[in-house]
Amino acid sequence: MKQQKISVTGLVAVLAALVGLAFYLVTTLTGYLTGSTPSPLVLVCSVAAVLLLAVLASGRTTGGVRDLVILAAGFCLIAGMIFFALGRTSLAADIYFIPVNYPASEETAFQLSLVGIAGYLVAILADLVAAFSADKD
Amino acid sequence: MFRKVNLWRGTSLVMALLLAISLAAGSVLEMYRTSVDAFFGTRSQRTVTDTTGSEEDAWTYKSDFTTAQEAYEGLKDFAIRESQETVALLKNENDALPLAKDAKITLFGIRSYAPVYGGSGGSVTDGKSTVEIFDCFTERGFQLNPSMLAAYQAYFADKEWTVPQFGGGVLPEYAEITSYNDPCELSLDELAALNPAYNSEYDAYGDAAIVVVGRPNGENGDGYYPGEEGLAEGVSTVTGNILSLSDEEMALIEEAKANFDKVIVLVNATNQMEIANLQDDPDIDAILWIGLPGAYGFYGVADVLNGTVSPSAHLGDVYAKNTAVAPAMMNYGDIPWANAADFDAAASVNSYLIEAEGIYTGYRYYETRYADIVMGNGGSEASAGTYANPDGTVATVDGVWDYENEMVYPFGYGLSYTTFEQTLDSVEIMGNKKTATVTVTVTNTGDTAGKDVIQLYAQAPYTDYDRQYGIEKSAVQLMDYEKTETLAPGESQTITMEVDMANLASYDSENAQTYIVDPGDYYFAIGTDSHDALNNILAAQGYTTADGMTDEGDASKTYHWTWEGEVDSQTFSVSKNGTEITNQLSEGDYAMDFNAFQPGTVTYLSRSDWNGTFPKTYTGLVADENLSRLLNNDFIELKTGEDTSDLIFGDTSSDLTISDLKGADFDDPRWEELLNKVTVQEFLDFAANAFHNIAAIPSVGLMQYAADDGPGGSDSHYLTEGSYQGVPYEDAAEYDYGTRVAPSPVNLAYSWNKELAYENGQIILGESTLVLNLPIMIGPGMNLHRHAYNSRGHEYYSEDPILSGYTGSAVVQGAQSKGCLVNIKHAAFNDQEINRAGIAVFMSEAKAREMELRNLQQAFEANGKPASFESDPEMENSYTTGALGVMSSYNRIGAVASSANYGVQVAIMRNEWGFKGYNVTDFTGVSLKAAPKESILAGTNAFCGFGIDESITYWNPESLSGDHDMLAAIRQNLHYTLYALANSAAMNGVNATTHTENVMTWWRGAYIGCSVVFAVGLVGCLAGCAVSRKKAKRRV
Repeated sequence: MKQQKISVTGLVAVLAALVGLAFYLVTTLTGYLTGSTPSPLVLVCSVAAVLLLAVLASGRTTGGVRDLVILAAGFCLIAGMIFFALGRTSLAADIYFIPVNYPASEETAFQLSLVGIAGYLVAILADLVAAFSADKD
Repeated sequence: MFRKVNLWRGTSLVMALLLAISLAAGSVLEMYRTSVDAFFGTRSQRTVTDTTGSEEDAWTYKSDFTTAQEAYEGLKDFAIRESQETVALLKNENDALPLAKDAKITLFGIRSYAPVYGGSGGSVTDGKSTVEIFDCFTERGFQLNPSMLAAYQAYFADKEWTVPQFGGGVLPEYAEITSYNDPCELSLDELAALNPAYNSEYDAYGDAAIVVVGRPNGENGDGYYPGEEGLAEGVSTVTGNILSLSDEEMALIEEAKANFDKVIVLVNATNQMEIANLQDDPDIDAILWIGLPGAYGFYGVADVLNGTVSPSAHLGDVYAKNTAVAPAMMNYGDIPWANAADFDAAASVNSYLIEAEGIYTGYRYYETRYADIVMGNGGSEASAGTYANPDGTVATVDGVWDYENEMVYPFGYGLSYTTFEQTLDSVEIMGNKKTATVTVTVTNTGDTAGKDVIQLYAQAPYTDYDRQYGIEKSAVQLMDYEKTETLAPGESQTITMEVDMANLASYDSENAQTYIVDPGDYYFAIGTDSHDALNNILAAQGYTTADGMTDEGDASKTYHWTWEGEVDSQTFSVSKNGTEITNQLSEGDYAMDFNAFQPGTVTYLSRSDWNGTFPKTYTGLVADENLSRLLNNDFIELKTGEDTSDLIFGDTSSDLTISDLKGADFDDPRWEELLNKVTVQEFLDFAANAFHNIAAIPSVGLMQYAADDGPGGSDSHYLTEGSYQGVPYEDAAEYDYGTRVAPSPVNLAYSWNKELAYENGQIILGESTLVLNLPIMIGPGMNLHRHAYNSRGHEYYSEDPILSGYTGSAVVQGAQSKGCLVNIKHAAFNDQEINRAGIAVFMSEAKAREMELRNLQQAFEANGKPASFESDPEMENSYTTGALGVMSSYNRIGAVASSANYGVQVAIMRNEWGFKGYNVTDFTGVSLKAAPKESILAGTNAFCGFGIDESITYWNPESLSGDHDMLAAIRQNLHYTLYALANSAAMNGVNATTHTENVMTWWRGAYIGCSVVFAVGLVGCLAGCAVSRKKAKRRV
């Protein structure tokens, strides 16, 4: 039986996506935005991306299936990140538009959100690396 | 062998990422479209009207400017004329001024090269229009010392003016020298390093040394602080406060004194600087207060310096020796709730302000304490830290309070190049006590033409009743004022004033619970300033310098009358529109008196015991359960399931539109039919999108419009967008200039000229509306100056409610004559910028009503009509409608969000004053800090800000429609909004064909273009990927 080699880029993508999702949930459920409802779009896209990336990381996909997994994971990550970012534009607007007029916790929520978005970006970059990499099969 | 697949696959993802970013950017740009326009100076939407030859002229309001050139020149001309009247001469020994028109002068000070032209945020000056001080002076004929100028040029050679954090264009200030704790003055050594020959041409340019000292001012600033706390490391000042002169500034003055026979100091600040040492110094020949002169204001300053016009401004605030010992300063800055950390951050609970000084701010404090000492009523005993030494420093031991040690220039002070004589010709007090007619003749007794100001003050008796019920009386208070025309030498002018006696009434919250007037002796007095007027009253009462008066008064300039009987709690207990006036802010949820929540906590300053009641600093207060309930901004529960069938929304059976009600009265019966058409969702959408924006309400044909800040003209729009009656200016591209060109609002108030203020409203706000199609202009700023330290004081007029109120009222009337829907800001009590978002402001109801609210009331009731308008047929229809718009404040009023304080926003503003216009929050959005549902119930029409915070889960028709009060409030708020807009330039030129069109701005083109390119690229790459995979599979 052929031993499947675990994809490092896939693994990085999974971990980064999980970090991004974790920061999304933390900034949604605690701190300045406590009480707000998590966006189903962010959750669905992120969970789907993590599952797809896990499949990618397992190294069991080949050919057209591998194309679909990489592309679908990438699309989900991009969508999750964009919906996450759009949900935080009001924080950025408050902070940068009229400074001195926002509580410190709002800036904290915004900065943590930036970390989360960076997590998604890393996952997307890892997925891109996988996409541009030659298939081994 | 599969490399092509990899490329297509990777590129597909890149395309997808870029497409997503483009779409997201487009979404954000459209969401914040008005802000984006403001930032980039674009106009992404326009109103289009297809005119036909047969229709009636729909342009109710007409601009005076048909071309961009006319607009540019008109604005410039007005700004210069305004500046000429807003320079106050404070000292002029041996007729040092005026200078010869071609005088050779040497300018000293970093502010002589880079003065404070306007605010550094809020009412900022348009840098594109600004003509710099040295250019103005040179154009007017002065010859400037090039060696000194070269030193400053060298310092600024690598520095640039700043880009404002809000609004467009450029701000004519250097960030490097804009500080609240450091004057940033250059030392002589630094000047020498910049230009070793800086002092080489003193003799050649020795007609005068002009030293410019200044302090910046702006919205958002942390603010000025008194004492050590307010000084940056290494900064040392004369009195120890940032508002006095630093060592470096004094070194320049000493250099000027040592090398020039004539030394003139220009005070370039709106915060009251401490300049007693300059007043006392015999080698300082002249002092001119120039405030913040605006884009062209140094032309006006030069015109005063060279005698083209005689100075005619008078101070609208007291200039104290040490501003830190004013009683208001005992409670200022960041004084946090002891349990602030317990609150949800979104509720924005930070600190509080206990305004324990009561009515005794500004001259009311200094003059009343002085009067009590003269009259033997006490007041001379003073505790350490509450009074000033003769040199202006804060006394550190108990001692004696002395007016001479406290005061430099009193409220109303200002000199001229000529002299005037004023006679109080006649006074008639109407039998109903409500009005008085006062006639004054002014004669120019000097040899230079000039304008003079009539300042009419009053004194009401301070009685046992007042002492018993905690009512305070200022020993002197401004009642009205007028400015003469330019009087030639020997020329006279007689002016008759109709005086509103309601402004003499005191508010008795404890016993009568309404306004009262006491029986006893009353006085009117004219005077050259508040102190002079008080001295005249004291003279009429028999006092002399032997009793401790600073000067002998002139009893002939007073009028005395007596009101007999009991305390009159009837005459002023009903407002002008017939509403009974009673306590609104003394108890209950909307109380402003902290003692209503925690009895006995606050002792208010009383003239019955100056020393014993002098305010202490109230630190460490804890918000108890009741206060916490209110501070959380969620204190009225939404009801559900109520019968709301009597309230109609979304009725589609009518064809009526808002343009049909253009100019309609508030009580026009057609409003009912129109209001029935609007849906709750439309109101919610409208209310949530009010950031410099008037959102569309499609069901009634209300189109979307842009709006803009602020008091000094449009913050974000330029004449390049200008148009005349819907047709863009042909020469627009040649005039990339703004409308923010006039001197600061403080300058305007110090002109004491109602007609000038009216013209300011017409041109600065009104023409911004018409030329730039901005129906709402957010202004004027009308909060009172509580003390000298507010870093946003430049946007507000004065410490006095009548000077501020009548100036603001005139600006509102002028603006509304052009169709501008003003937003008076900020209602109310925006007394400091520190912690402005959320700070809880507490004070007695008497202070609230007799000071800040009395000030705002003048504009809402269209009071203060200039005497000249009374006899001018063309102005017959002016001052008939009060202000039609207001913006509430960031701070809390008492414990609740200002917009949610029903007592102020509804009971007083709408019910007592009859305000029926548009009421919008400051930059809160629909968020917890604005208490949205409570604010709707308190008459708020819209929420300025960025949409709806996620925590406000009830912002939908389903959540609100079961609450009858809420729906009734929504309907009422729609009525206010649509009525205000129907009576503004929003309806200008509107007919049945009027509609809005999107404009393809560069940023809109960019995101649409990118989206299309990346979408096509994505599809192509995906196709390429599929084809390549198929080929690869075949090969395998």
